[in-house]
Amino acid sequence: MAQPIEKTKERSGLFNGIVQVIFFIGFYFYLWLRIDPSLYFQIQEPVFLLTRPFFSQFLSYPGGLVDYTAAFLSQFYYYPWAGAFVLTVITLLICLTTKWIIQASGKKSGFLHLTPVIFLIIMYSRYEHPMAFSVGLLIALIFSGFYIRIRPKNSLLSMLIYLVLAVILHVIAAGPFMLFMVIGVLFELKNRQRTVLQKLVFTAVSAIFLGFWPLLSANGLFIVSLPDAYLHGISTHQVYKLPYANYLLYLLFPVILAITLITGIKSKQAADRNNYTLAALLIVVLLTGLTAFFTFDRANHHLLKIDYYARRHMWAQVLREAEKDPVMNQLILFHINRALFHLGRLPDHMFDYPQLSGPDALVIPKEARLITPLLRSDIFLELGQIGEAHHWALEALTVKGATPWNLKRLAVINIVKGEKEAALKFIRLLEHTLLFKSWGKHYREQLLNSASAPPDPQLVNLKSLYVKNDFIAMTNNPELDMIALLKQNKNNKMAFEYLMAHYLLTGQLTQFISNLPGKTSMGHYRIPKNYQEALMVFYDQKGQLNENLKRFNVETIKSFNTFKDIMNRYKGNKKDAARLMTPDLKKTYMYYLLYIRARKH
Amino acid sequence: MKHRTKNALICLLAILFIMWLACRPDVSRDILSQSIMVDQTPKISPDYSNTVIPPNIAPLNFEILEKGSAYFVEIKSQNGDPIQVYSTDPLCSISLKAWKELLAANKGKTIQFNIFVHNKGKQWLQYKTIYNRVAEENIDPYLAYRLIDPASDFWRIMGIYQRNLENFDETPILLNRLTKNNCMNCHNFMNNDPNTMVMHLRAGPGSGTLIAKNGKITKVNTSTDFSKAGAYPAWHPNGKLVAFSVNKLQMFFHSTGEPRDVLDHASDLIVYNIPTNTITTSISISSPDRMENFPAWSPDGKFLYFCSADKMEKYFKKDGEFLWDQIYYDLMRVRYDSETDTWGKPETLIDGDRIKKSITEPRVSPDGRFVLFTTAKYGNFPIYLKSADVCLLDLSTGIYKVLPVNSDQTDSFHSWSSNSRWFVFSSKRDDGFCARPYFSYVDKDGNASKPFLLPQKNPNDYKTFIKTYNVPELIKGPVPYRPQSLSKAAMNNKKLLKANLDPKVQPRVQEKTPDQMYTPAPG
Repeated sequence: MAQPIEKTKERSGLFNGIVQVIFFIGFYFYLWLRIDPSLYFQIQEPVFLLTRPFFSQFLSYPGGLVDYTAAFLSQFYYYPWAGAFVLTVITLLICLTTKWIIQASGKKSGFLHLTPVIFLIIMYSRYEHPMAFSVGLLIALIFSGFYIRIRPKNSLLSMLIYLVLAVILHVIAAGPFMLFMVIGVLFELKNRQRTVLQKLVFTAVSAIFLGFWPLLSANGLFIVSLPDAYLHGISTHQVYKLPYANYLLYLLFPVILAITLITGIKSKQAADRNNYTLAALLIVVLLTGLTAFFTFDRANHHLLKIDYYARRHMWAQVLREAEKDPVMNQLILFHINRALFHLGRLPDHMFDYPQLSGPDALVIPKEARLITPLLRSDIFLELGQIGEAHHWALEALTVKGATPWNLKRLAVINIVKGEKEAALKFIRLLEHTLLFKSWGKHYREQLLNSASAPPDPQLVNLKSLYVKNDFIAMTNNPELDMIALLKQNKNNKMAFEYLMAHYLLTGQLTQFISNLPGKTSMGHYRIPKNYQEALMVFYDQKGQLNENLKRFNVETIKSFNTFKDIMNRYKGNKKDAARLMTPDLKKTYMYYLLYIRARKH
Repeated sequence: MKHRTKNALICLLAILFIMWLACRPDVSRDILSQSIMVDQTPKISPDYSNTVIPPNIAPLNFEILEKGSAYFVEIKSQNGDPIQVYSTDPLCSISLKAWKELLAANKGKTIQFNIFVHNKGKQWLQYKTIYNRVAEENIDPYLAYRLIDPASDFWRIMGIYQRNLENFDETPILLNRLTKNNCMNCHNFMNNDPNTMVMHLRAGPGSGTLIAKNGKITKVNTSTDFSKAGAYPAWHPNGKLVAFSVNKLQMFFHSTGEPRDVLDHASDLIVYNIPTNTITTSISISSPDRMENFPAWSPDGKFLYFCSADKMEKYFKKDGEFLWDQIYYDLMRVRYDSETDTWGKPETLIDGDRIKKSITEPRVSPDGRFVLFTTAKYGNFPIYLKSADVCLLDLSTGIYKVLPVNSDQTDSFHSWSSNSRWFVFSSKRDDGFCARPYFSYVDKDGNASKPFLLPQKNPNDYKTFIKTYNVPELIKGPVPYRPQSLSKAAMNNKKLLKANLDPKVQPRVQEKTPDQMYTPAPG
């Protein structure tokens, strides 16, 4: 009779194990294919340099070593599969350490050790969430497990070890050391080998230590503010506000342990409860799935995906991704316009997309500069306004640090400007990154062996665009910058198309027409669709449309007439006329002028 | 038994160690005897050659830029044992103790660096000897500076640090992570004394002017009905007065070369009287027709040196064209009697318009003989101008010269050592991007030596270090105030002292617009 029961237990245990393995495999694929860790990289731009000064700055504050480890591991976000692997391993280790701690009490963890995943998935759904929080938590749990396993019978020695570990943990991880202290106290309170007095002393000493050690640390060992000494690693990180899930997660461990220590299942009873455990396990899996579904940040995922493609100059993918969601914002339109230009479609198809932000979506306005300094640098670089590209790359360096993209940008700009030593500085830094050494090598070749190295098309293009005569950048009025650029280089195609786009978007048709060449040297051998529409509006307003009709193609004339007919039918009542506007008419300059621009103003 | 085994083991290890020492080849002897002379000066980085160094400076560690598989450096002078450094690494790290002894024994003498490189042909090549001279006079042993990102509009992380020049220790004076990311700068010391200092914090809860004196730190709001808060400070030698400039700065950007530039729309000078907590000024230093800037007291306190240009309106032509690149500041001074609080008539020492250069940052040597200042193509912010050069005016003759310490990159902000024989200045000569502190010796006749870079334990760190050294100030010892004490004073607004305006001074209508430069980045 005993044998079948044993077999059932074994089978049930095996099934539990398989479910957990499948759970973590599913978790990995979810992170890889749905969340996409490369988007963490996109927004966080984690900095990691293999230099002594970079490392030493992490030694100057408590929690720095966890930050350094996280900075290292975050580099793997660049490759989605590797980033997902790192996060899965951290999550797995958090669960296993939780199990290890629970088992140290002589109790079986059942499904409880998996519950942290529900909270972690909430945090992983937020692309700004820094990895340091998970690493800090893991280290605190490892320290807790280690202490529980090695604590000697002698209460004094036990306390000494506990306090030494707490100090070390505070230096390594800062805030998470509190979790270690709470777990330590919980175990000591439940320790039958201790007298009541010993338990009280232990608790009191822990409370005093918890309250005073960070204070002492901030006033002696380190130079940090008091909030940082206490909370670094568990509370706000720069401007990123942590979700409540983070605090709940920290609360979860004492709760799990309290439940386990008070009512937990003893190992020997566990066999009879396997079915119950399995059901609970399935509930945890289900809850994780539901949490993942409801907390997934679709809007941010969409935006970051567009940003991801734009950073890699995958312009067709930028448009494809943008078209997946009809909701447009300034940043998305900014990327759409860039993509349209690079695909040679801006003058024809700009109004295929609702230009809700007007000219602000051409060059991101200064007001948005804080979150987008590198994007400002991107657009100015593409326009050939190297000075402003340089300025904004320096801002990006200050705001985000020595990220690979910032370093690359500054290397490129300094090569173009002929600032060899400055370029070398950024190249050297690229060579000290973990994953972008090849960029450094490439630009070193371009800088030092430009004659023998195959020419870099970007550098060749930028050198041709770099203006010779200085002018003062108009950071709040890029129109003047584009005029100044074109004054020095008539062949600057992007400056021309963006200037024309600016005139269209601001409704400055007189300037638009005065800058429109009959036959340009920029490849416009025909008048692009949006330009034709603008010209028709202009001539129509002047009553000169008929004598200019031969300049326009049949489709444009047709849609212009249709648009005009609708407006005439409703005697200019835009609201009523809007009902008859077909999707094609909504993609015209007339529609933009009458509906979008007018609404904006 | 166990004890005996342990003893035996220790003995064995000791014998082995002695044998290893005895059998170790005398590398230096072999190299010195077998090397081949090369008629070439070795390239080293930083360039520590043909310069004058203080006898109390930290070891001048350097990297040998000649290719080889092993390197040997012998440093010697007339007195004391030579220092020998053998390494398979091109980095020459010199023992602090041996270096100190060698320099102390050879004040005023020449010190030689003999460099040997083991080349691919497995020969030791001896390059031409590098000579440097050890000065008789020490340099002030500490350097205070701000470390910041190469700033444009934003800042995030910054701190004011002090470096012990006699070794490699660097410690923070104040970090902005203690003051909720304030901008902090304009640190200044009275007569190079670290006990008496002033610094300015802005944009954040810690904003204000910190005055630390005789162990006490006070936070003062120096804005009054006359002007906003003071910026560039200068201690009067009596320790009771601090002159400040009040500026209205705005950044602007170029499309070629260094993109960053700064315009000062208006500026005046004010004087803060510490005992009376009063701000005063005079038409002599805050004329409505002029922009006065960069105060500096003479060591006897009888003159205030400063720079001054016509007010901004004069640079706008009738057609609206703005001649920003023709703003030339003059070097001025004005007599001041601190007992009676009376000002003389300002006199022009060097006319910027005449030399077609703008003069900024005057600093009078502690012996009162010289004035160091910066000249640049135009304007008031030389740190962003490649044309910025350090110049020296001899007050005994009235003749000034551009010092040979300059490079084709920015060379600007300077500070004297308290004995007037050394000065430090910021130079971007290494990469045109980050400012680094360079030191130069000035003899009694005003001749400056070739400058040398602040030594580092590993000088290669400079190659990847992208913070810039800002406002280097030489001081006679470490700042005795803890960063925590300074931040506590900065953050405690309950004890903020609001300065009063001298009743003799007429209030002015002030624009409430903040400076349009240097805004805090998130985080």
